[in-house]
Amino acid sequence: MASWHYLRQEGACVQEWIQLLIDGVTIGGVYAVIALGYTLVYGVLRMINFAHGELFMMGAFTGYFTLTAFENHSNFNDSLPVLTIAVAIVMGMVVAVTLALLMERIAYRPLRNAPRLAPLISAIGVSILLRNIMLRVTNAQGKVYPQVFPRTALEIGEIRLLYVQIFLLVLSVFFLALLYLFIQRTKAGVAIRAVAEDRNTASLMGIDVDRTIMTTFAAGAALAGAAGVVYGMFVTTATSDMGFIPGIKAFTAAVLGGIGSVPGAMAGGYFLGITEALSTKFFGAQYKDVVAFMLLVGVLIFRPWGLFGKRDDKRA
Amino acid sequence: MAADALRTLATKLSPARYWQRSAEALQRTPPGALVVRYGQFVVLPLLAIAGGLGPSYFGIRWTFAILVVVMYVLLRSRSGLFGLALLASMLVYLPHQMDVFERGIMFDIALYAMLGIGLNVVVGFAGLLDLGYVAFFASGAYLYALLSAPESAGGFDVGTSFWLVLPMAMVLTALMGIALGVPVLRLRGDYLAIVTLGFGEIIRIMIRNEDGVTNGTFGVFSIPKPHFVGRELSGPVELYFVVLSGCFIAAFASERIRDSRVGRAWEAIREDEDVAAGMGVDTTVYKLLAFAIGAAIGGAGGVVYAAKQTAVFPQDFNLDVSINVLALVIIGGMGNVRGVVLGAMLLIGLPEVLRDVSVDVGFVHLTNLGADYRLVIFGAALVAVMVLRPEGLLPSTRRAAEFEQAELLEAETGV
Repeated sequence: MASWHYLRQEGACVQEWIQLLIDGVTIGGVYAVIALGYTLVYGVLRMINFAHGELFMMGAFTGYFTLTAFENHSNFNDSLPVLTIAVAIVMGMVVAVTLALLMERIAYRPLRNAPRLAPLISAIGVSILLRNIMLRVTNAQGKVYPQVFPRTALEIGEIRLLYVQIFLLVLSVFFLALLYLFIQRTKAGVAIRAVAEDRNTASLMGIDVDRTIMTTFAAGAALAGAAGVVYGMFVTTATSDMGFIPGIKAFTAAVLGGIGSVPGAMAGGYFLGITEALSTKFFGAQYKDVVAFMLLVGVLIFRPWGLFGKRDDKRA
Repeated sequence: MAADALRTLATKLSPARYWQRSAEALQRTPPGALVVRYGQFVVLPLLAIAGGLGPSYFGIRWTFAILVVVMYVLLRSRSGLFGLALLASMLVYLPHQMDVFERGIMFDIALYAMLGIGLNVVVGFAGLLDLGYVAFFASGAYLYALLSAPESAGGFDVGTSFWLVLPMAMVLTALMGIALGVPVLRLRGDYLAIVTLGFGEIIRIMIRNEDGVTNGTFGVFSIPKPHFVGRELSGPVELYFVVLSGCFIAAFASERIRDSRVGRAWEAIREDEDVAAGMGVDTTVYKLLAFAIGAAIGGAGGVVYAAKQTAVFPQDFNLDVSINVLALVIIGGMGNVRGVVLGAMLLIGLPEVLRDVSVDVGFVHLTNLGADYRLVIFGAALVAVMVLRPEGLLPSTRRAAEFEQAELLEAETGV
């Protein structure tokens, strides 16, 4: 089953470990960015937004459509690629935010006082709906991204770093910092934290709860949309079911960091990405997902408040 | 005036004993409800005739669709017995008029109804949200596949009989249910959902990757059909009746358990676990029991599924199965076996009925609406039902009351 012998046979060289580490951090950044959406929404609504992974998927498709439109109308190499990429990311964010606001209004808000199962099923419904709409739109075929980044890699010794990977690494850190500042420094961010702490008191203090919840959904969706575009460029394809696995992994990351906690989700994302990448060395790549799920189950059972969070008996 | 006359007549006929309602309660009933209640004596025989003749006039699928709608109305009006009688006769009678494809659909409906009845024990009765139900279904299916298929087809070449594997699978999956239940005893709500989801995925990935045991992605094929009194149950109708019997047994057993001491313990746990424990309910034992019973029914479903398909593959057992079963339990109405059956007919049957319907309005040209867009419709329907009727189409009376209570409480405290 496991390829334990692999280690002994080849003798793990340092470069291989570093390579795995870098790959882990790359994918971990994506998990962290998506995980923020879960954790923010859970923080204010105590609800798992099952359709969050689909926002990521919609972002990836928007990125594809935008980039191909650019490719068809102008010569890619002549125009500014930085600008086209920026436009694609912004478009992905706009589409994801619009969808998130729509789903909040139509599928979640009427159920805010319903028992907890109802919004969960409704979210599953939204997820199935979006996934299958895209399946129809794309005729069940994956869309291949136009080539934006050169396919060659930066090689440092044995370590290979794709250019798009570097871009992804930097951008995820940028978005995480941006969101952190938004939550900590802006008025809307304070409102989100207040509503997460205690919705009623926040409302008594003059905070518009509905509006704050919408802001929360929008912030999470913007990140998911942007992550979708960049991830699409990284894996070079967009498929209608691409949201599921990253969605579940990001949720795992949010739980690892203590769901509801913003820094926790970031740390959890990177932790999961690195653990997963390193685990491929021990168990083989086909058990990568099992490792992630085992980690999730283990954390929920033994430390439901998260690896990095503080114990809070209310939530478990 | 007419309403009053109807009321008096209804009281005179004194069906109160039958409906277990007092004459005063009957007096208070709005006339509309009375029309539905007594109208069925006229409508039902007509329907039975329509059910018999319908297929030759409307075609079998539209007959099916009409019957589902009518049944919903009947079951809603608390005339349970007649609705069930109609359901039973329809389930037994209709498949004989169907072609192979439609019989396959009837099999799927019955199978999903059975899975739904099993999951309903966990979700509806005990209130434990399980999104990994497919794990038990897959285990049952693979157990029969491996124990019956020849070695060249990925099996163990043991040739165990279907009727022997069935109890074995139920015991195995019940143990699996307990094994899943023990670590997650402390988890509630959404967390439980995610852990069970992970469990389901782990089982599927294990089946896919452990190709030394399960033949991996190639699957196991050449699974033999069961024999019954020397006769091979080969066609979809024969196996359909096997599942249907399973459904009835599971439905009967689960309703009896619900009304027993165990059922009351589940109800107490569902309402408030801490209070239940305080009142002396052994929450550990009863929660594990719910997991075990639900899992055993799922395992039995898996065995029949493997026998019908004659081949099983890891990708047959993905998350969609769990979600479908959960959705039909919740849309049908949690805690109510009849609701689950209705849910199965709606969610599994209607998309198939809609399969070759086309829409051609203005500049909208959608052909094969059901085949291509049924999952789109399914997703939208899940949202719509939750927003409009979060308690499900046909909730058990008690659950409906609980929902009202919960909403009142929440309106008061604003939690």
